[in-house]
Amino acid sequence: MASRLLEVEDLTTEFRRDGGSVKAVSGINFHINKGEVLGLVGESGCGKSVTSLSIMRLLKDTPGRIAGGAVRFEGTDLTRIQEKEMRKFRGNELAMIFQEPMTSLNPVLRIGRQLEEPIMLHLGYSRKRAREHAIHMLKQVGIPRAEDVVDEYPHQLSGGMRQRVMIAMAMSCGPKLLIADEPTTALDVTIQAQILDLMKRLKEEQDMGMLLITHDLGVVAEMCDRVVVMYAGRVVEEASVKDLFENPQHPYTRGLIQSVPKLRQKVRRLASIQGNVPDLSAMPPGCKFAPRCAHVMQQCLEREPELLPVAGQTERTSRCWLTQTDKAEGGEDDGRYTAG
Amino acid sequence: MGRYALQRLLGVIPLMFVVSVLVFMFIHLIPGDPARLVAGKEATLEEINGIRAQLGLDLPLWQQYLSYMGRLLHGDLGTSLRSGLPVSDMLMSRLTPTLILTFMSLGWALIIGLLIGTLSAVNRNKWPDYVGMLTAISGISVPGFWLGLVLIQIFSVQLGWFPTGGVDSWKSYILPSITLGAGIMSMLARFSRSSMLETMREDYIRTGRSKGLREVIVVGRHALRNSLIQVVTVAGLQFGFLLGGSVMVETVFSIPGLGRLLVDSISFRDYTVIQALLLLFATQFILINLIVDLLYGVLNPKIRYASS
Repeated sequence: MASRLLEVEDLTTEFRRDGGSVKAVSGINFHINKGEVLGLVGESGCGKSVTSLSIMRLLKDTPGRIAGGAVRFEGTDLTRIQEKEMRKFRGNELAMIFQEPMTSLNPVLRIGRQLEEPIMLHLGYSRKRAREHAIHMLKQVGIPRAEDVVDEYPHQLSGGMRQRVMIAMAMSCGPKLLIADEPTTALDVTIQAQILDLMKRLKEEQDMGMLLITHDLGVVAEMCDRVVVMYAGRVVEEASVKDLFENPQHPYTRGLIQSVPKLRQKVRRLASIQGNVPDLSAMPPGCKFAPRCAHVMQQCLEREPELLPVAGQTERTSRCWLTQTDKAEGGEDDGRYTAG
Repeated sequence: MGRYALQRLLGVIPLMFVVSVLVFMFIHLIPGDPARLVAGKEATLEEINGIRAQLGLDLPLWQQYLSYMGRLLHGDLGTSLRSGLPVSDMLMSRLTPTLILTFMSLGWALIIGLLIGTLSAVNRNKWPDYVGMLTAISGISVPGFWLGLVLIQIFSVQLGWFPTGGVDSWKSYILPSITLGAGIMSMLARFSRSSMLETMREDYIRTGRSKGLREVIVVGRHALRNSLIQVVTVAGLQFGFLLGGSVMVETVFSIPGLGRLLVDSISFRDYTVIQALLLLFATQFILINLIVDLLYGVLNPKIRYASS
């Protein structure tokens, strides 16, 4: 087995809401190996971003808090260390880039100043040396006139350029894990491809692990080694990128793949998954996907299936009664389910 | 920045023109005949006409305005109807106490207001927030003249720490500027709290934290400057209240400043002095807002660069 960079175990994140609390992420498990790109896929509101913010412990100023589980980064449980210790990881070995390049940079500080911050903090460079390093990083991410750009302000750059700056900032201390939350969603299609190529190149050069959060299966196919599919705060399927596209197990995954428009197929209507993500405070009792599932059975409405290995395949799991029982109708196999 | 500053400076010229016309018209808006007023009740018609010609009030309005402006640009604000002294001399002798009072008030109000607002925002819904906002509400609700009298009663009469009035030393200005600044400090505290809370929700704050920066740096370097842009605007507008408030505070603490001069001049119908004070207050207000505009440019690179 390849060595583990990040292990997320039973991570649960709760949000206070109307006096009570709801679980935005409820007991998820996944891991990332060194140098591996893991895709985290799902619809809006499925808990992808909350997962990334939980790993970074950036839930401050949100009503959320980590309610249980562990996030082990090279063996250190990030949920248990002091905030002061956590700050040494952030921007250093653990870096993050966000969805909104237009608003993720401080409008009143020069680009160079913002880039120098983590470099001076984590690498202990002087201002002068940090500036040189910042210029070097800007060149690395393909920004022309890097020497001038360090003295410019964010509003003088385009969205694609700003995302490059964000990437340069995240990469500046040589992180072992980069968390990218929808890094290309807000960008034009041509710029998207450039940014993805850049991230791929940098990842290869630095042998860095990456958690890529996206709802775009095209990006997943392009970038990822393995994929975790999330639905309603749970992992519903995990597979290698090849297996996922060739043989999706969970009906939700199949729905996602089918709803990607294909060029050669002429269809009157685009396929879509009926219905909406359930409200976190009013979850169905059984499988959370049951109300929208085309293959729903009686037991799906009663009990939630666990995330279990798919029969006959390694490194693959699915949270569906259909993939866990030999007979699709199920019901006779309760013993195995409770034991598993 | 240079071009932006020039634009702002040039923008002041038409504004000053409008102000000068309004102030000039003031003497003609008073009910009754200024010449008759100057001449006094016992004057004959001939005397009144003589004074009218002497004051230039028999000339067409535009000629009067031109000669008024001509005198104004030479620093001649006329003579007081009451004392016969040059108005400009009267203003100069009264200017210093008012300037010290206003800027001391604005200074402490800005510093304490920002501090309370920031601490409240950072500790939202915790005890520093409650204490800060209670202070702010009290500051807004308490009438200035009452606060002034209470301060005199406690700190001057009973404790004897500060004089009850006058301008003998720097100590004399402490109580008046607390009185004058309390309202503005409170407004600024409340405003900077809400502005700070808004800024703390911005994406770049999360970026700052994701870099591993300490919370003090995130707030001080990344949030404060952005929320200052909004606070500065309010501070500039509040300056108008300071000018109004100084009239009251100078009366309560018997400070020989411009506010007291205004009150005295109104009760003696000393129109030339009132006219000059109007012009001075309006100019001050315009100047402060010019400074606010320039600060805007300093704080916000978008404005600085958009016009260059």
